[in-house]
Amino acid sequence: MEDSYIYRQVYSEEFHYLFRFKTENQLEYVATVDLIPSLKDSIFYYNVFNFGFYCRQIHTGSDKKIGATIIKIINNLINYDSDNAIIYTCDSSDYKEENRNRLFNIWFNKERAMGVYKFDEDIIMDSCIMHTSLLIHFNNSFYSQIVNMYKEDLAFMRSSK
Amino acid sequence: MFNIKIVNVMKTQTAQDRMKEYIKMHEKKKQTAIDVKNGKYSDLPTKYSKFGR
Repeated sequence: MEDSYIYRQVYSEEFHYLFRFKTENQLEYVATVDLIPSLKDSIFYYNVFNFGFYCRQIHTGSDKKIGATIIKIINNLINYDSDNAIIYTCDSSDYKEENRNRLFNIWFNKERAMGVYKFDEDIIMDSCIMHTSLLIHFNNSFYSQIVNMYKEDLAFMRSSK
Repeated sequence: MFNIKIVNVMKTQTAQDRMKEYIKMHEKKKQTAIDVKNGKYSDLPTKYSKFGR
């Protein structure tokens, strides 16, 4: 396991959880955890989160602690309650989603917690590829329902394009 | 009992409805990326976290 940065949860009315950390090079990272409105009537509404992370500055160079910190935030969310699951979508606002997706896969494979599985689905949106991943613990009480819902929804979105 | 509830949910909310909301989430992500770059969350106070660190 790589060393990680100390991250803090910050007050936010906009997101379910908001985390922030600063790197040795003074880069500021924000990780957002949000509920998914389309699940509001399901019993796993408070357990399936939309996750994203963003850097305030333009990041150049390599810093292994950033990935370790991002995956640590995810691991802690899932370890806190194994019924929690994360849907991660790569930020595509700067058209660097391919690099971001490749990096995320490397980070996850290196730092993932025991029992956490990843499912990947890609769709095309706004003329760019949207890379998404579902991260879920094998002991999740709704494991098959959540995995099936994720796969079905993304398959539907692909077929609708 | 839980399984019955899930089946009902999936019947009442169509995949099309869920797709619309995924698109909204996608738009929100784009806006969040802009907000982060503009420092919107830089000065928010920290709070005790049950998730450690």
